[in-house]
Amino acid sequence: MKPIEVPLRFSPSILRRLGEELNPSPDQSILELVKNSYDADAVDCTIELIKTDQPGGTIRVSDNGDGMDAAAIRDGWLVLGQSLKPPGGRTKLKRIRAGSKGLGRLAALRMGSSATLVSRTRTDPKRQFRLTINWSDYDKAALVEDVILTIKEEPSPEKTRAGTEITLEHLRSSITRMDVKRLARSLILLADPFAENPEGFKPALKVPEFADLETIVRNRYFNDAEYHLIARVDKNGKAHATVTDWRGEELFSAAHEDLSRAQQKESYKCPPAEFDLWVFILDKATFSTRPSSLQEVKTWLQTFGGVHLYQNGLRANPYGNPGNDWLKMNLSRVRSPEERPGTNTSIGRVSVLDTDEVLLQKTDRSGFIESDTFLEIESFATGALDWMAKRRTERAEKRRAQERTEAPKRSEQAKESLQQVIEKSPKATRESLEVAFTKYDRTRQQEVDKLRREVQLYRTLSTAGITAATFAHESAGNPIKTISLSINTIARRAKEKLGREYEPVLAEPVERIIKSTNALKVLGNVTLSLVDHEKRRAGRVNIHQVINNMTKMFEPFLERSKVIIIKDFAKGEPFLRGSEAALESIITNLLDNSIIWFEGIQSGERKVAIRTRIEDKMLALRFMDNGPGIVGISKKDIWLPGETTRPNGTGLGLTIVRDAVKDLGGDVDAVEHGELGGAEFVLELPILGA
Amino acid sequence: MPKVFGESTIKRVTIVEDDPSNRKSLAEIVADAKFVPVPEDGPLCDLKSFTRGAMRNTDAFIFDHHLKQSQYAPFDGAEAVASLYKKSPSLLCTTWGKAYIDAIRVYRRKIPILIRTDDLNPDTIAIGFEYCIREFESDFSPSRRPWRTLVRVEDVDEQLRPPMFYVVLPGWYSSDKISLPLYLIPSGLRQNIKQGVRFHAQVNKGAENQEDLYFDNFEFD
Repeated sequence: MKPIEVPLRFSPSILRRLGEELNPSPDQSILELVKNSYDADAVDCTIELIKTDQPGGTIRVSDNGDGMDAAAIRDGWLVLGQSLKPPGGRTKLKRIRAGSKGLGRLAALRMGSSATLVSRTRTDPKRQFRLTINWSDYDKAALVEDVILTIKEEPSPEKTRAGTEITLEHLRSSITRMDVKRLARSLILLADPFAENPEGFKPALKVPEFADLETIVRNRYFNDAEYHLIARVDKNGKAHATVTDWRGEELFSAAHEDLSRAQQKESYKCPPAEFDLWVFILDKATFSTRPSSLQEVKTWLQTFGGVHLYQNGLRANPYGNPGNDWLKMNLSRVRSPEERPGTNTSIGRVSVLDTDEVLLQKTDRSGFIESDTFLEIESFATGALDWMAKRRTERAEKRRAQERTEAPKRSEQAKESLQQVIEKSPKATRESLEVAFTKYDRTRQQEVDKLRREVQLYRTLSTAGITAATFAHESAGNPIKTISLSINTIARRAKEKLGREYEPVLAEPVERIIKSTNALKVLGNVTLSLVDHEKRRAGRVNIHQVINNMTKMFEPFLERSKVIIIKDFAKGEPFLRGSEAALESIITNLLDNSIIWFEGIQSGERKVAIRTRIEDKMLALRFMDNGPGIVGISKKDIWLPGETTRPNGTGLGLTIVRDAVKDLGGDVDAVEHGELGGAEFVLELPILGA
Repeated sequence: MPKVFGESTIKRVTIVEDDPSNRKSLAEIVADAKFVPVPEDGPLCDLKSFTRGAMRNTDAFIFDHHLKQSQYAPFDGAEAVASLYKKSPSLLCTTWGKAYIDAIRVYRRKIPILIRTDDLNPDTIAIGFEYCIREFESDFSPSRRPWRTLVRVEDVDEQLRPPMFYVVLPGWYSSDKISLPLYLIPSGLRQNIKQGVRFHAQVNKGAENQEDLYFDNFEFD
């Protein structure tokens, strides 16, 4: 039998699958048509939305690009799954083509019940080609190829230029304000929204229903930025950067070595890229002298803020979209709010000149594949941000240092001028003014001295902490290890040599050494555990677990001081959001406080009780002992830094408790003689659950 | 007297420990275990040359983890033990410390025995070598056997130094969050580590303690 030759054929339902079901949102579909205009070297592209706030409306996208003749329409525009023009290479205006596969276009064309294309070429703009697709024809047909489309040639209306116009009529669904807002945002960000190139792509939006959104597209506020970061990486992978202030004067500049994060200062392995970032300081004082209002700029940054990514002049989604913070700027800002820009306080772009198209889109168009090249670009941009943050911190430190030097001078000048005023005042009041001023001056001086001592105390204690941690680390590794290993060997060998004699002669002193060595290890572990960096992270903290860990860690000291801990916990496992270090500071300082004050109680049992109760969304934590209670100091003064009744005491323990409780959003109070007779501390901590 | 473990015989044990006093202490324990201690006085050259040379003269090793501080060796004990996997039975001993656990975890798959300094005695040394030899022959102890395990990323903190991520193993103690350094993941796969991501890895689910868990052969969808 003769073989039967058959082509693969498609049911019209494939059009719905490829069109509607691949269509992420109306704005993205319309954008595909705009991208076609861009590829056709159009300078102007107008997007009109006519009565689209309800179904049945019309969309018209018209441009002044190259246009198409009948052959181009037949062999390019109507061929789905093929780029209109070959990928790579550039247009006459040196644009690198978007290279869409035509599926986005199908999604757009299917938005209405019909789509009409009218196109005029630059070589013969007096003739135009018209094609209409009525989608209902496909509903009736069995196969896609059964519907025959007609391209009509006709004279162009007078004074029309080359270009293409696509009209989608009788839209199946309405286009909401949110859609238009996204479209507006995408339009300005489709081509470079930052440059003023006369040959640049200028999409314009006409949507009478939402005229305010047209304005957003037009307005810009770059001149209101406080800082402008300009970073470049050249074709050899070498980077440099500068930061200018709002007047355009250079503040800092950096060479490749200052920017790259890696120790080896290697070149960035990515195509040439430029990173511009405009950083705004959104406060009333800064904007009081600016033409734009603070609110305007805030709104604009809410809409456009963040760092956008451009590949060959075209914006890549989703980088810089709301909620997309690919450079993790907001996280860094949380940690250092003063000197770090966030996506709501800055706008920027990373432009990559990727002629070889090394950056590849994921198949679902949800961004680039995170290849080494992409990660290098990310690293270049975050390196520049880190560098700028460091320079700004340095500047802030200098400013603060200068303020510290100048403050006493200014204070002295103010004092002198006040004294002059007093001298010139009427004799009757002069004397009492002088007395009052001297009194005030003395009090102020005392306050300054106190603060100075407090700062010194914190520095001394920090140094003591760092040193203690180093010693703990060193002793665990060497002397304690040697003692521990050697004593075990001594015991083992002695048992072997002495046999029965070992027990009465050596067992006890050997056991004493082992026990003391273990106590030394605990001391070291407590110190090292307190400085564990992960404990300073904010996260979920299990309160009972932290209390148990801390009391367990303190066991050797508690045992030595003969202190019994009585725990009476609420049911469940209450947890809060905060850092483990904060809760540990509270428990450690309260325990330390009790152990120290028990020294005054030389007979009877020493008890510490820790009780937790859950009330609503709060945890009540009562920490009480049967020590001497709060004596010799007013209850309200115990929280003050440096206030102590103990010789050589730092007076900081309870200050830290107060500050840590506040940091966790709670409250703390003290009772001079509580339930057990000694001091009692009552903490209220907000919890997330139990 | 050499000790015989199946087809292997151990007589000489090289001791790699940077502190001279501790080195002597370890040699005493090794001697009490009836092996011949070979203390390495250092300074040692690069890892490859050292192990190649030492293996000609020794049957097994005991390494302290922390070797770099006093310019004793340009490598850590964990790296050295892993490089000797299936070549020579080696024990790694260390004083417990969180930072060390993170650093050791990268090599943990190839460290059959991690032993606390306190637990070192003639018996544990001999048993340790026996376990090493058995594992080299794929006879895993229950706490070391690898299982293909689902891992869920709970959180990532790239601001920490080193950057860390936090996982839960639903098939292990599912409420325990395990902190892992990001460098545990091969650099090409690191970008996959995001909050909420699930992946598979070879994990010794039979381990009792977090410190003993290893993670290897990461598979991302």
